[in-house]
Amino acid sequence: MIQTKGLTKCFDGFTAVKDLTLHVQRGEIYGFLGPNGAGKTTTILMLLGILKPTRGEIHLFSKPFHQDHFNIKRRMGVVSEKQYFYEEMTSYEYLNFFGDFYQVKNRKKRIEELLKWANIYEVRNKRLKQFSRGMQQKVGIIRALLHNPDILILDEPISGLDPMGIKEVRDMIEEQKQLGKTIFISSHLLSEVEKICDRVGIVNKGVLLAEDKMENLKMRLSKEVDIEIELKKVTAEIVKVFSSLDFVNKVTQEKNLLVVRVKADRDHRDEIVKTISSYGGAILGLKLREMSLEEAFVAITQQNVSLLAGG
Amino acid sequence: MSIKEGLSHRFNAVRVITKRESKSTFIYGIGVYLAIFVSLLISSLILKNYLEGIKDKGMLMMSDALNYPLYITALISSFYLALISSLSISREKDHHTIEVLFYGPIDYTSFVIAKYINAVFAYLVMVLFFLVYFFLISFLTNFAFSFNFAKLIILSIFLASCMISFGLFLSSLTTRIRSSIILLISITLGFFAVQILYGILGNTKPELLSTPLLYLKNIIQVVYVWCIQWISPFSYFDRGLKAVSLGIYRDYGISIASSFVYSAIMILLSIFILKKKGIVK
Repeated sequence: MIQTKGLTKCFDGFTAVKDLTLHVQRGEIYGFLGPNGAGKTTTILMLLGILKPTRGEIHLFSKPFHQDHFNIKRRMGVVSEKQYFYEEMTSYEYLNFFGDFYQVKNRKKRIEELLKWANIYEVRNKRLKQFSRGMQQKVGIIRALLHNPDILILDEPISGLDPMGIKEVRDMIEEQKQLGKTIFISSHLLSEVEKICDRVGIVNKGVLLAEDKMENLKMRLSKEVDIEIELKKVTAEIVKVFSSLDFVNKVTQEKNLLVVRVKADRDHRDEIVKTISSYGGAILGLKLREMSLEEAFVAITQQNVSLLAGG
Repeated sequence: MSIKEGLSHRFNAVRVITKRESKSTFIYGIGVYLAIFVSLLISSLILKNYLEGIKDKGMLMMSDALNYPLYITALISSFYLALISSLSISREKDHHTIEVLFYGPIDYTSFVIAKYINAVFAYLVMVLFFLVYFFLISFLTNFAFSFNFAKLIILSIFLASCMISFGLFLSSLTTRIRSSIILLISITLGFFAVQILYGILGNTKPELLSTPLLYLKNIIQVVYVWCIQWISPFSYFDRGLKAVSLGIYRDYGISIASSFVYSAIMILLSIFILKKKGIVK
């Protein structure tokens, strides 16, 4: 759905985005992550044709962007971090204007449906400048969904929202995914991205450092993994056996909970279960203590080393 | 994408934006009504002066008495339109609303043309007000509507077109509302200054001028002949006005045609600059 190849943008000798190659598949939620100034918004503006790339190609819906930009843009919906309105307009007038702009069929009905869906139908005749930040964001989301786009591009959509607002936007994103939309979301709120994204790309200083499914990324980043094993009874013999295994680096015991730090070269859970069983231990539970996306993000951006194939 | 499809997308974008802009000009804004009021007020003062002259001397030695008030009316209202045009693009850049528009099916050409059409439409509506006003004046004062008046009305539409496209051109150069206003006012004042100096020094005998003033006269002449008379939108109207008062149809036609070409060049330049500079602040 979204493909870039060697995308580069330079501003007066400064390279904001360098050789960016992305591939976002149909129906997936792709998290585009990076610290401030990493080149996320520049990339999005290039995807939307607002900034002209210095080098590289953009294909949307398998077509080069410049070849059919009118039709391509008709199939895209965009929500930016801040909403920019014609403030003299009411929310209904604003949405009606964009409905007309995108030539939405049954415009009035569609606008009313979406206003009700976002719980702002009652304030449809209120001027936009009187709206709170959360309500403005909702109007921005409705504008983006009005023409039922196939691709949704969300640039920091939850930044500055209260917890309720964040939940509503998250629900909306998940709802759109259920409808088969492709969603490209740029954010620095990693805990939120972690909850909804299928794949993430991590960009720093204009360079894509990592791109993978969340669990793969965490796995690749970790040199060690902690495995928590809840046993009916932890015996000294079991602790001793684990300490002697070559893939185990550390064993700690907290009552009947055994925390085994193993090398992250492969999945050792099967071997652990077999070892415990062979020494007569009864397992009540086993849990992999995962690295959070935040930890993965910090590790990648601080090292600034590419985890991409060939990187 | 076929040419027909591209045109249809552009037409839609122009239609929708023009509709929104017109609503903003005539429903949400009071500027246009203020401009009509101010220009008609100044016309009224000029006409009052004529009438007082008639009262004092018993006659007025002037053909087409309504032409000069109309000229002033057109000049003020066109300047207002140049001002709102010069703000129109920079305001959208300043408020980032242009970005939201460009998320959708639009290109630079349709954006600039929509802005232009809205302002020309605003002038045509203003002309309706002027016609009603001058009709009433004619009825009350017996100052006759002449054929020249009609020619001047038509010419004023082209003046407005030049002013609007000039305003759009300036607007494409800036990203802030304040810079647009400063740029338009300073350039307009510059044009006037050169035009006035050109008139004064041109009409003064060389033997009455000191050496520095003679140099200045030559410089002003070169600046005016090679630059200002082509760049300044006012000079197109002045040439047309001269043609109307002398009754030279050929010059009148040339004046209209050159105003048209000027507007087209300014619009093309605005599109080019916008494309080149981009819309992101």
